[in-house]
Amino acid sequence: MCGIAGLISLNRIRENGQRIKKAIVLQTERGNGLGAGYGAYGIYPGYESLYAIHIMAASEEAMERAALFIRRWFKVQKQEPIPVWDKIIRDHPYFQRFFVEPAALSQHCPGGRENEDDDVLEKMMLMNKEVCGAYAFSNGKDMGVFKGVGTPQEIYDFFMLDHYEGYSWLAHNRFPTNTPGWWGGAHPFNALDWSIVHNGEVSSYGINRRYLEGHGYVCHLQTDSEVIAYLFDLLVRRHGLGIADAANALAPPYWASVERMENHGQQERLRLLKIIYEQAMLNGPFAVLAAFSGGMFSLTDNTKLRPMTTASQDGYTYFASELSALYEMREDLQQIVTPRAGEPVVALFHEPAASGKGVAV
Amino acid sequence: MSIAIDAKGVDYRQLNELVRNCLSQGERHIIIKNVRGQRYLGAGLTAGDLLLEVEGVPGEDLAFCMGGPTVIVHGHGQNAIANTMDSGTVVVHGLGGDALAYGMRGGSLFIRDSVGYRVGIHMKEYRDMRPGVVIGGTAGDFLGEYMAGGTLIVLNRHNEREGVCGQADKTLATGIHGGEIYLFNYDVPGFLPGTGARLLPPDKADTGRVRSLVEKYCLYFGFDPKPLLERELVKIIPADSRPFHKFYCPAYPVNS
Amino acid sequence: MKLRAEQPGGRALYRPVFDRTLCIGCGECVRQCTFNEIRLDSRNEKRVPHAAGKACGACHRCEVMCPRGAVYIGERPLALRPHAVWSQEAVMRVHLQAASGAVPITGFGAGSDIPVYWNRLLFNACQVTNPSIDPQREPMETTTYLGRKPENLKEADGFKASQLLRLNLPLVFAPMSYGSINLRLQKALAITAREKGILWYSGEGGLHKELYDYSDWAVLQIASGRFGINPDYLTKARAYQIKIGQGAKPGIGGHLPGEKVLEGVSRTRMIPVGSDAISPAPQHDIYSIEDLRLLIYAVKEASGGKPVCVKIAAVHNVAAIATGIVHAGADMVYLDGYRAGTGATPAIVRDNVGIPLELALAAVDQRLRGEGIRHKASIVAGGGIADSAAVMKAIALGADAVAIGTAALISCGCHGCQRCHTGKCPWGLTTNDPDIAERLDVDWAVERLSNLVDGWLHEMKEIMGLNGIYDIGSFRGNRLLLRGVGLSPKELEILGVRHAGE
Repeated sequence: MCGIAGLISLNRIRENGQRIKKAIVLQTERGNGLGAGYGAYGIYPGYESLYAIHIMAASEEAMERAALFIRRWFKVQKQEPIPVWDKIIRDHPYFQRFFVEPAALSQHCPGGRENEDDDVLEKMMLMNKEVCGAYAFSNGKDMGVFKGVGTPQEIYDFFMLDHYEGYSWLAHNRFPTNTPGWWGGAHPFNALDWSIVHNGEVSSYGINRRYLEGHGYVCHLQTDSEVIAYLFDLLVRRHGLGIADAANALAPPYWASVERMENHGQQERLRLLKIIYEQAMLNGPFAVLAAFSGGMFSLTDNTKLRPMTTASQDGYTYFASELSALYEMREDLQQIVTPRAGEPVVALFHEPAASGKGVAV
Repeated sequence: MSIAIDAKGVDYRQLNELVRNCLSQGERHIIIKNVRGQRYLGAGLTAGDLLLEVEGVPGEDLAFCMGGPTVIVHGHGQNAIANTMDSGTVVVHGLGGDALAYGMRGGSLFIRDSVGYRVGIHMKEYRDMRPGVVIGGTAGDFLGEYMAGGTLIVLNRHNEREGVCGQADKTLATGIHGGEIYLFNYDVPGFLPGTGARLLPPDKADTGRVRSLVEKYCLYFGFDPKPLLERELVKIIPADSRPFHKFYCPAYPVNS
Repeated sequence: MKLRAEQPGGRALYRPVFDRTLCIGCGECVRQCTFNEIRLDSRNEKRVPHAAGKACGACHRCEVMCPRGAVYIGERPLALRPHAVWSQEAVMRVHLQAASGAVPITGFGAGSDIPVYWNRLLFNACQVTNPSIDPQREPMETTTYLGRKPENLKEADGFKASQLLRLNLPLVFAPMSYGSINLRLQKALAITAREKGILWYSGEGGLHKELYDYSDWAVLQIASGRFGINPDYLTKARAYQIKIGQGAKPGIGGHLPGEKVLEGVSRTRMIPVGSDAISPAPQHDIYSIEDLRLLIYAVKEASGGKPVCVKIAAVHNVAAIATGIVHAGADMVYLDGYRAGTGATPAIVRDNVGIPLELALAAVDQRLRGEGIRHKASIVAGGGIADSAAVMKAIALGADAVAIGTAALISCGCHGCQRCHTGKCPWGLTTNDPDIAERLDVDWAVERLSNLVDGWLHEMKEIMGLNGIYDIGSFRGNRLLLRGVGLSPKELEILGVRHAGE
């Protein structure tokens, strides 16, 4: 059991973390104090074109090793500690952030900008594998993940999220079951501009992971949720699937439903998605909230074994595990939408970001 | 005479303690205001003459294992309402979530609008205890799965044609071996009913039990029962009390 | 010195034992025994059966057919001093060869004490964090597509799902040729495959006209003997299988003795009645991987682009060989493991050549992934699959589908007497003798085969459900669902499985 909350301003109106915090704190009972986290988009104005790498490290030496690694592969425009209020949680890792652009792009990536993302992700995975004691937990542009071991209120205060202004926010409250509660294991999980929070268990993890490893991803967190962020990165960014196709690949309708569809074009498309992406399909109970540069969407397993409720009003869309939490973000909601099993609720920004790439729906 | 409790920002344990205190002081009409996600309201309460009114959105497991009181929610409900409920009445002026009325043994549950998945799983009856559930809108997959007793009504108030009681193959009333499900104004697609479910042809609401439950529903929410009851309805009953007896065979020889 | 026939080698290890108080002397056992083991004697006006003690192979036909339940099969072991090398088997085989100067042949799959890894692997199950799924009441899907698939959606332009082979469950009937089994049994397999939405593999005996109606569920074989292969054959299947090797006899050819080549076999294989049907060890047009490629594309070209499967025995270098096969254009790789059955193989080959399917399958799946070509071919794994748990373990190791041969024969009466090559199968399965073959009723065989498939499917769904998985696709290659017990780190590494407790 875990709690999820999200909000997005379709017009990219920025706000601090107060509303999202209220929504996730209301769901405190869904966690056990061993993990909480937030993801925020649009929080680094002035640095929109740079990859914002968030690092946690077990020691100053480990942070130094991480910094060396980053300087070796990237051109660092800015490096600074991530401000934390350590009176809240005294026993915590070191945090730094680096705003970077790939340094050796011209030599190493003849494909130019198209390959920048691949390069950054590859280096981040390499770093997480090889630099002992340090972990890059967020590497997208103009966004950041803030997470750790604590309650949602503690983690919010620890990272002082009152001081960030973002136009889309997601939050998670963790009840770790299969893996230990540690700072890196908290949600959201991030890969480039994708961040996901997840309530559930990925019974298909074994094959999802092998599939991703076959495509060059390194799963090192011992946490099933990690694969979801990579799967979206692979399917949407690298394979060019739209959100609807990606959702249908990860949480497809049953074969029985596909085979009796009357729209034969759609039927064949679903068949192909199910056949081609069999190993990407997520099995097990889950509700996922995914944020990316183009917006935010929720997805549940196709038996709907985990809860998800949403509401849209006046240019905002809200998501939460529990219906009551929606009202924490807005008191006067007019209409609640509870998505059907496997049916994504998609909220896209009205205007794409200046630096953002278009994503089909 | 009633007493009001302000639940704003109050932890559920404290809130339930307040309710129990009021109850022990003889209060029989308790109004809880500004409820937002507090769990277990009404759970385990047994005062048959208690009226508990909830303003806002109560959290999970509302009326869990409740035996007697009437709970009226002025707002939406969440998941697992009337879980393993023994008797009493729950009325929700809005939506209901997933897994409502799980293992419900008696009493009644009225949801004004639609509900989520896995509603009425393993509802059962015992002696004179017979649960009744009325859903005003539609329901998701796995409605009435393993149902062993009681009456489950999907009123389909807006006369939807799709997704009235789920949409995945063989998930409606699968494994039903007791009780009855009524679906109003819905031509059940052939792929929906699961193993063990038997569909009876369309009929009018002629049984007293359906009529009385629907009338109560209308009374609570202020609808006119007449046009609702005039519509056709289908009934689902168990085909057999042992739908899966052919599934197993003894691993070693036995004399039958 | 002259040895008597009762010396080891000429002696049966089993014999029918009669209960004379129940026996009515009807002689049914005599009629049922195709090996002339039983004779009726008259004693005091009463007819009494006697066993010769020479040829009983424990087929249990007499026992099952006796109307009075008056006979059962007893063991008659050769009492030897216990010895790790000179076992009963070893001593008897030496005697047999000393008497004959020949190569002992047998049917069935290897029964040696090489580890059966299926028995060392255990499944996981849901507890608390994810709900199990009850397959009797909730959707549980086993639909499986076999063949060459696009790597991603971008590559799928012009690709259609119908180009693949669709199975309702990931089970197929292993290749058994018409000739090695008779037409009745092959027909029963074909009918069952069609009814259940799975596949039957023909083996290398051609396709009898009576089975044309079932050819959409057939994978027809092309092997070194090229029996019955003509332009018509190349239009009559869902897919084709080029057989390179068999798990029961890797590296050697086959030989259907002339006695089994009767009229029907002759017509279907397109060879004269009574002639030996010899399948050479290699296909003499395939001496290299590029030759294999040549044949794969020849079959595709001549058959209108049907998928092509290549069957190999699991041998030491199987992963590299499979990789080559996929690069050569095969749509499916059929892995036949060490324990795979057969109608006839030299016992010395059956028991000493090849590697266990479990290790081969794990190695091939991992290697194809490493090469980035796993999507280009499906893996069908067979050889010693005795229950649905082995099916699911094979799927979890990475098989797309699993083949059963011996289990299918057993469901139709076989008791494993291992004398398929004699042409005298008392159950009417591996014989073409019309009088004996008549013992197999096609409808009955279909019912038995269907029941077996149904029963296993129930169990497979149960295993998926208790792991919280509703679609077999998430089980496939999901080795985290397995744990090994009592296996060495090397074995675990190859299987890609963690040890229990980890």
